[in-house]
Parts: sequence; structure tokens; C-alpha cells
Amino acid sequence: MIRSESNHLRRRFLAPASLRLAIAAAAAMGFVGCDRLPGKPPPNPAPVISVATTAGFEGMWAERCSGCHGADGQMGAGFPMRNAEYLKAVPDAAMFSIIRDGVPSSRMPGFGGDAIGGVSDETIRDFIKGMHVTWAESDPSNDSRGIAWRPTGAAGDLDRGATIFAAKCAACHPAEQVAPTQKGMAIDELVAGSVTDPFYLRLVSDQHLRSNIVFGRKDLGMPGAAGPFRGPDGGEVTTPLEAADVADLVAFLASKRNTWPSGPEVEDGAP
Amino acid sequence: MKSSGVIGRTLGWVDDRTGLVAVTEHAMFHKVPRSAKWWYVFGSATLMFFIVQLVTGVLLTTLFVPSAAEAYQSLVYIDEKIPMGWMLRALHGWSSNAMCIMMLIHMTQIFLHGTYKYPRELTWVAGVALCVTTLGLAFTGQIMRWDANAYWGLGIGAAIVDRVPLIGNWLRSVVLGGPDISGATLSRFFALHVFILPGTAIGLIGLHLILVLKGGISEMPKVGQPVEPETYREEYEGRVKKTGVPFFPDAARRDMVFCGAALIGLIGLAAWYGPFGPGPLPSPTIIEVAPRPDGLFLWLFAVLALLPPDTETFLILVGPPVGIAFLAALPFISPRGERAPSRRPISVIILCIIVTALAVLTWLGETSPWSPVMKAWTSIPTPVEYVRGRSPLELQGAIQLQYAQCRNCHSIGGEGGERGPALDDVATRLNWDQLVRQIQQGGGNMPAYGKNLSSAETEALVAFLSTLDGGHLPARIPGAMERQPGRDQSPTADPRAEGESDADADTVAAR
Repeated sequence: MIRSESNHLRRRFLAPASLRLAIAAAAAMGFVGCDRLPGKPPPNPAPVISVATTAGFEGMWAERCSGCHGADGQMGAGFPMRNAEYLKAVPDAAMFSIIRDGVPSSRMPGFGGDAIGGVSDETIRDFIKGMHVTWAESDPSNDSRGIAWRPTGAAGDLDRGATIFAAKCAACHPAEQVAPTQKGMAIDELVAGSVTDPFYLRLVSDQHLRSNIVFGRKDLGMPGAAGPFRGPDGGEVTTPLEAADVADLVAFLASKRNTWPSGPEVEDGAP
Repeated sequence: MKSSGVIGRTLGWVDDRTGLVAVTEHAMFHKVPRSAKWWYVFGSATLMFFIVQLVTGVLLTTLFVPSAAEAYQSLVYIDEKIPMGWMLRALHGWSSNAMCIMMLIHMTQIFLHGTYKYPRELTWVAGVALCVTTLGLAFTGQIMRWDANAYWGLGIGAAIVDRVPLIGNWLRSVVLGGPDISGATLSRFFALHVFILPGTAIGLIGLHLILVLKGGISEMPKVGQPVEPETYREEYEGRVKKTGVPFFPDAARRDMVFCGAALIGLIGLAAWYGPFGPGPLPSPTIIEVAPRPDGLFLWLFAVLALLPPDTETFLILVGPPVGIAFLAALPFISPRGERAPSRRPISVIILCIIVTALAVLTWLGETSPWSPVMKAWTSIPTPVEYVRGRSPLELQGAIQLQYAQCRNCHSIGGEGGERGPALDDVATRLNWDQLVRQIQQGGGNMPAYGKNLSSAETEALVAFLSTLDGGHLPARIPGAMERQPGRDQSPTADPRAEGESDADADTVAAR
């Protein structure tokens, strides 16, 4: 019975020899051509546009930085990078480590290193060059008066800092949290709200305060160390800040930071 | 079986010792109804795809490294370094989908023709169990890719498990192998996908086939020929004896033609569209992701997005078990009577509703913007008008909004995810305390961020959010857009500071 079934099968199912040959040939050709089939995935990871080019730099900025630092490097919630003096003042090595590893315990994430998908060290170096070419080289402004971005001298004098703050800062940064956007109030570009707010101070490091004081936030209307400032009477104060003044101001602000019970949110040294 | 020749004598010997030849012979040449034609090919096709899954799956197991650190790289290795490795993955992926679809078509046909009635109740029950197992295989299979979409699928699964009252947390750590998605999770799902579920499926398929042979293949339903358990078996056997044809080759030929066509289709899909994933890894620096579960689970994704929040837990936990129990109980609810669809209007209507609902939900899941926009947090700037005039604390809040990836789900200024509501006028809808509560405790589809944000971060975030009044829209609830009443400037006296060191430790750990 089995033998007769197999004959039966042969008659019913098997194609003539010529057809079999054709099928085998087609299959062989198929396998040779398989590497060019449309389903073959592209190489991983996909090639990226070099950030050494302008388009590459802008693409990477838009994708990974603009969320906090602003669409064109300013007017973001975070510190603007479109600040020639800041870019010149921060050594490339420091900038590199900030971008690659982030700033621990701050809200600046790392974008390189070992993480899969992180960008290579080479890309980060190109990216830093891109920032310089795009924003720094053609800008000769001198709002920081050459004051170093990192603290250099001794710790500041708290009481002196309080005096300077009252004279040059308090008009725009009153102690009471003022919300310029509250209903019914006209926005006054110069009233920027409290910087002595304990919650604010717990979220930012001394370095953040220093960078803001030295380099200012021109995009938001805040001057750098060169001034001019608004005095308590509303008049213009043109005497600039010296390096020691900056340290004093930072010391004063830091003294307002209430670290109980858990300490500052951000370790010092964070930009 | 009296056969001469070497083959015949060998088979005779084997049959004498095992009885297997006779069983095989019966399976191959038993009589099936003459009316069993093209409607009956879907079960065989499902089995064919399962065999493809076994073969490709075993081959993939020899290449895949089930460790969290290496899974992704091993997939890339299979795709790029193994000759035709990508084809292997493509076949496995497409065959998985094809198997599920074929299984659902098979089930639909059985339901439509009332085949589950007497005496084939248990065949149906085994089939329902197979259906659950197969969906389990599909779900655990997408986890094996260990990319962002796998994370997403797991996240949905874990969230569902988490909702179980009392033991939810424990169950979650059983499923994930710990409180979070980790390497242990991958090992666990690997064991499920490669050992437990395929083993279960093979056992159930065996049972299913034995039951099919025992009960016989049903005839096409005929109006006026209802199933009466008292007489059915006798009549069926009489008819099959008289007019039936042997399964092989008469009925099997159709199975083979259909399976062959399906196989060619499968190879075509695999060759043309290639393997599924692996997508990007779930890392904060990888931003090209729009996480969405695989096609088969899109409807579930849509259900989760669409259900009103207060019914969600109940429906998600109660719905599937009740649905499966109802399916399994179907032949016991309706074991007799007419099989013809024209005489079972309610069944047909139910089927139409289910098919339509699943199709619409799948379509919604595919097209709707519920997926978080994973790159929003680094790539979409805070609108300039929301930066201008904000206090330093509010600006820190705006940074927090980016950093906590709120915008992956919420848009402001028309940009960002659309999974949650846009936040441009959130200050008119929620007052300070409600904002704090929403952020810390979550609600709706929003996770609770209480453990991930310190009090200062929450304060900054709420300070920023309470400036978003949609361009000076009036408050819609009392207390909205007013500063927090009597806000304490000194956190030393702030009761919210309690237990904060823990929160801070979490915050740092979460980074």
C-alpha cells in the first residue's frame, strides 16, 4: 500500500524534470541576489552627517541642545551658548567633559561616552568647534571684562556681597518673588524676579550664579559684569563689577540658599 | 499491513513495537467530509507558520545573546555578519505576525461555522488556550529585540500588572524580575519565549490535533441540519463513511496549496520589508524613537489611550480574563443547535462588532499621536514667549519641564507629544495645589512623579506651569493663576520637606 501510495504521489505532485530544473535555477539565482533584496537592513548605526559642517552642527544643536539652550543658542530656559565671551572663556577641555559626561546631579545630561547612541569624542570636539565658528569668532563684545569663568581667588565676602546686591541687582531681582506674567501686570523686561528664592537657589550651583553674573543673559536683558545696572532708585549704575565683586555676590547668594535638610540639589562646580 | 521489501518490513517492525505507523496512517488517510474545502485550510496554515517559527527560532537561539548588555549587539551581528541572518530574523518576525493572523482567521471560521459545538468542545477550548499562548509568544518575542519598543511593550505590560489590587507590586517584580526593567527581565522573557511558551504550544497543538482526529473534521454547516448530541455522532459517521474522502491527498492537497502560497507570501514579505527592528535602544541620548507596540497589540495600546481613566483599572484587569473565559465557555453555553451562520444572527453580529472594533482600534493605534515624542525634551525649545519675562525660578521650572521629559507627552506652543493635554493654558485649568498634586501623584494616564522630583524641582515646575495662562485667558476655576496662598519662603518650616532626603536620593539615582 505504501509503495502504491508513493507512486500515486509521484504522479500527482511532482513536476516534470525540466520544471524542477527551472525552479532550482531560480532558487540559486535568488540566493545569489539576496544581498541586494530590499529588505536587507541598512548598516547600523546609520551614518551621520559630520558636525564639522555647518549643517551638521546645526542639526545636532537642533536635535540635542535646543530644548534647553534655545533654538538658535539663546532665548532658551537654560544658559545661552550664543555668548561669544562665555565660549571663549570656557576651555575646550572643560566644555568637552560637560557635553560628553554631563554635569552630575544637575540637569545637563551627557551626550557621549559609552552609552550606545552617545556621540563619539571626535564628534563632540567638532561640535565645540562648530559653536565657536558659528557664535564666537565674529563677536568682539566685552561684557564679562575678562573675569574668569571659574572662581580664582579667595571665597567672597558675604557682607560686601549684600551691599553690592542692594546697589546693583535688587532693583530687578527683588527679594519677594515677583511674577511679571501674572494677570493684569504689564511685562517689565527689567523685573526679572527673585534670585534669593530658596527654591531657586537649591536648584542651581554657585557656578551657575557666577556664569550668569559674569556673562549676563543678554538675550533676557540681563547685563554681564560690565553693566550697566539699575540702581535702587531706578537710575543707571555704570560702575562695573570687579572679579572680587562677583565672588562676593556669589557668596551672598549662596548664603541665602537653605540647604536643610538635604543639601543643595546641585553640587558645586556645575555650570 | 502485509508488505514485502525492506521498507515494508521495517515499517511493519516499527509498527509492531510502537503502533505509530497505524496512527500515522489513520491520521493521513482517515475519511473527511467531502464538503471540507477551502474554508478548512487556515488551521493547517497556522501550524505551518508555527513550524517556520520553530525552525527559524531554533536557529536564532544559536545566535542571539539573551543578556541585556549584548542582546542588541547580537541582533545587529545577525543582521550584518551572518549570511542571510537578516532574512532569518525577517522570516521569524513576519511568520509570527502571519501565524497570529492565520490563527485569528481560523478561529473566526470555527466560530462562524459553529464548529465548536458538540462533540468538538474540547478542541475549541484547546484552541483558545493556543490562542493565548500564541499571543504570549508574540508579546515575549518583541521583548527579545530589547530596543525602545520592547521597553514600551514591557512598560505597558508592567503598568497593567501593577494595577492588580493588593499584589500588583509583587506581581510586577515577578514579571520583571525586580522593581524595574533590567537584565533579569530579559532573562525571564527569554525563558518564557524560548522554553515555556513554545513547549506549551507544542503540547497544546498535539492535544488539539488528537482532538481533531477524535472528533473528525466538521462538515460545512447546512441550514436545517442542527447539532443534536443524541444523534450527531452516528449521523456524522454515517455520512462521512458514505460520501467522505481520505484526508490525504484529497483534503491535504488544498492545505498544501494554500500553505505553499502562504509560504511564498511570507518569503516575499521578509525579502521585501526585512526584519523588525532592532529599533534604537532606550537611552536618554537616543532620541529617534516613537515607541509603539507591534501591530498585533496596537488595539490594546489604543484601548489604554482611550479608556476613561476611572474605568481603566477595572476594564483592563477584568476585561481580558472575562473575555477569555467567555470564549472558552462558548461551546458549553451553546453546545447544540443550528451551525449555519444564516441561522445564528447574534453570533454573526457579535463577530462583526469584534472585528470592526479591533480593526478601528488598530487603525487608531497606528495613526494617532499617542506615542510620546521621545526627542522632544532635547530638541524642542521652550517657546520664546514663555521664556521672556519669567523669573529665575520659573526658568528653572522650564528647564525641569524639558529635563523631566514632560514635553514628550505634553505640547506647549504646539510642539511636543500629544499623549497628554497641551499645557499652554494649564494655569487656567489647575491651581497651584492641583498642579502639585497632579505632578506628584499622577492620575489619568500620567505617571506619578512624586518620587522623581525633589520639592524644589516641583516648586520650580509648578511656578513655571502657573505662568502658562494661554495668553491671558481668564481662570476657569477658583484659585487658578493666583500665587500659592501663603507660600512659605523658608523651607525649614516647610512640611513638604519631610522625607526629602529619600526623594533626592531617588532623583539622583533616576539620572
